[in-house]
Amino acid sequence: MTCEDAERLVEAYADGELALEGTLALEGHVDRCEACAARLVRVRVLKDALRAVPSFRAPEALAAHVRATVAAAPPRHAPAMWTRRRRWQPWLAAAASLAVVSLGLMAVVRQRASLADAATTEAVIEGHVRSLMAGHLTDVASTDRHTVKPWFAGRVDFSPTVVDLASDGFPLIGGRLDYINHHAAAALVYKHREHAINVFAWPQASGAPSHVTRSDARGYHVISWTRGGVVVWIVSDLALAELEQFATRLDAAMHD
Amino acid sequence: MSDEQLLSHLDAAYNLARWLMGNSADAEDVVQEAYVRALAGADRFRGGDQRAWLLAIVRNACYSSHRRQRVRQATDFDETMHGEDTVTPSPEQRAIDRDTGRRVRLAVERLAPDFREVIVLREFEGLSYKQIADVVAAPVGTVMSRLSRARAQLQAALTEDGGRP
Repeated sequence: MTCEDAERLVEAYADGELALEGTLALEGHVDRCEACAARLVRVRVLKDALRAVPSFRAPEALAAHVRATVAAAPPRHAPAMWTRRRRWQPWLAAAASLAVVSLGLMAVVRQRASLADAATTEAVIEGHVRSLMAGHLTDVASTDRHTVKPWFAGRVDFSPTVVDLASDGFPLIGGRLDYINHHAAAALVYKHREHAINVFAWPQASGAPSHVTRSDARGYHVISWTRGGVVVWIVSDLALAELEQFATRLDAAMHD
Repeated sequence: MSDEQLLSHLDAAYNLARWLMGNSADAEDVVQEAYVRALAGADRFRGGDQRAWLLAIVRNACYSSHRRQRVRQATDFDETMHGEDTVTPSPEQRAIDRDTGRRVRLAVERLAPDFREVIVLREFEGLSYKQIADVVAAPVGTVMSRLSRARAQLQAALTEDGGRP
């Protein structure tokens, strides 16, 4: 790597946006080149200084106003079960048109959905921690997706999409059978530097809307979404920006 | 997408608006407007990153607000920006300025809006290059070059500042 290349890449490196190959090349260059090492230090010093700037937090009055705005907005998507029942039973549709009934029910359904999400978040973090502590990351250790995918046949009741993201800096390590919220889940394990990423996937039970949530409990980041009838939860102790990068690549590769 | 999720991004929405509007009153107006827009257009949200989607709406609302203000008062974006926070510093003010956080904050405020927003999204909100590109509706390469130029300006400003007695 030349100094010109390093100059171009040093910020992306400090931002955690370089893929594995670029990371290794840059680290190798910085080890040998004092000028570029100094350049990296300057970027990091600036990033640290920016970290000292406190963020603005929404004033409580604004928060209250926005909550009221959101609460007053008409429900945007009824959960699938409700929609189905309404179609079949016209009397229920009449009841639903009563704002009080409708809003009350929506609140209950929403609350349940967020509670379920919180429980699943806990479950996937536990699954992740368990896999690391027990030294039982993989049942099938292979970087070859053509080995990992067939292994799941007969073990889970769907055929998980297995993609290799080694070229993006996230090599596949293997697969494992896991249980999340009492159902079997395919667990795919990826690595980024020395950090393990667990990807849990299972078939979608009902027509839940696709969503992305991000929680940060005990230093773990969790991202989830639903697409193509499959629920995907990923968890790692990677920096959030890196895990998001992984999520983007994974989602894109799975739906190629 | 649930309303709870939309509400969970309120601080991020306000932080971006506060940085782009330069004062809290305008920032609050813009955030309220952005939530109304987000709720009205919520059906257009098709998966992907909800925070980036909301921040894009906040950013657009900021720019619309600045455009309206410019028409009304014939003031320029930057004048509006610096109307409140960058008054001529008093001696006491200078003493406070020595505090790193405040010096850096002022340096960020003095950046042009295009540069300021990428710094806020990357360094304060922790968005990836791709997410920033989505928010500011520019290619990732443009985001990277704006970030790089913004950092060069910040480094220059802070080095200059630090040299002062």
